[in-house]
Amino acid sequence: MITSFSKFALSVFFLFISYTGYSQTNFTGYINPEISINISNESPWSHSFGIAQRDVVYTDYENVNDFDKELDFQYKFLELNHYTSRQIGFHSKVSAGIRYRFEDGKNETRIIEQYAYSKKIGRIKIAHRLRLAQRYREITTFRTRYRFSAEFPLQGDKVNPKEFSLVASTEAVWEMGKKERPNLGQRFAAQINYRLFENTRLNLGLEYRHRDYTHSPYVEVFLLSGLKISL
Amino acid sequence: MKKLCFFLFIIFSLSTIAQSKKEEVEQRITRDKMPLEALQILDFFNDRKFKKEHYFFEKDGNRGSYEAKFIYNKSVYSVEFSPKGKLEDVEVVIKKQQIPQKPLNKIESFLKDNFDAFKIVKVQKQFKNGVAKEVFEKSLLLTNHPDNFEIIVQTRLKGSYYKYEILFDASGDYKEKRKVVKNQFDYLIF
Repeated sequence: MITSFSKFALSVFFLFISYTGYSQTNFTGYINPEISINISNESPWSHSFGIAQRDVVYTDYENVNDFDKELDFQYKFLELNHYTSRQIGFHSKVSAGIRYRFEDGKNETRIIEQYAYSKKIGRIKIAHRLRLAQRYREITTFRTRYRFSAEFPLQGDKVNPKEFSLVASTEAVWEMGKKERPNLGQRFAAQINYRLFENTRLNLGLEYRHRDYTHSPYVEVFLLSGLKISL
Repeated sequence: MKKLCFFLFIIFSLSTIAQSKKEEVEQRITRDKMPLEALQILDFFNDRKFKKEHYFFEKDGNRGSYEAKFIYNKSVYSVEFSPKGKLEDVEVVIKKQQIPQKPLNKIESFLKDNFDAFKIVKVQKQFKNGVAKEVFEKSLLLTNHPDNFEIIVQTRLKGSYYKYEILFDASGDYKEKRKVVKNQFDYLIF
């Protein structure tokens, strides 16, 4: 049974989807499917492994290299990632991670340090995430980002198997490097999560990235899809 | 035969582990799906005007039960019935500070003695001893004295983190405990 709050949450989600459908300038659309496995037990240590691919499916930039206008498709990269985490309190954990991107001719290694605070308040799960990242590619970029996300069950007080939830998040990203001007970006995402089994979740949603908004703004929209398994 | 005995032993051990863990799955149901006897008990107190009354079928391991949840006197009540409609217990959510001082001291010293660190997440007063209607009526009184206190507590012991549901009697003496399956958050963080 879907509650009135859930109806409201769904309306906000679809409003968000329709808003992102407007024609933009400096706009690029991506698809970003991913699979991740999270391994944890009662010890304070946990591990996460993931694989993702990103492709461009729309761009309004002219003369973009490699973008096949007939196919509306351009392979961007394939990425592998791993995080090892340690719980440091009832609600918080610190993680160190590595991410490797296979991008034509310009592979990237990313080192990540992270602090996360997550808890359940009533029926809503929330998570704060502070992440530092060093991106090593042709140039080196340093990133600081903070994300707040919340999950709202759409059926009942908690998300049981075969039930849906809405996950909404926003993230601020600050980028800087020796060869690039510091820039700020903000991301908003809304995803529908389906708990297929006890430990398996599927998600589908959109992420709207407003990048470099203090200098030369541009917009990226991602169609996110994922399979997340917790062992 | 030896192999069969070993296999049965493993299966039995696994089912024992499953029973000792709290892993509740609640499914919202309509009033007409509740057992008749349970509705008769609830309807006996119709004049009390319970707010936001909802019904659930709950599975905890292999055990199934029916639950009515409502708000009365600004407190959240959950009334649990067996599949045949027999009242099993009434639980009322309270704050830790609402536990009388003597039992609270005993509960806290039990937790201090048994864990390196702890954090009480939820406290419920539990009423279950006696005739169904009397138990229910007693739980609705403002100055009620429960049969037990049921607490959900997050703990740390030797570097490992566990979540337990622990039952204490009205005077704060330990009765039993079982592990609670922890909420997963990693899918929200990564």
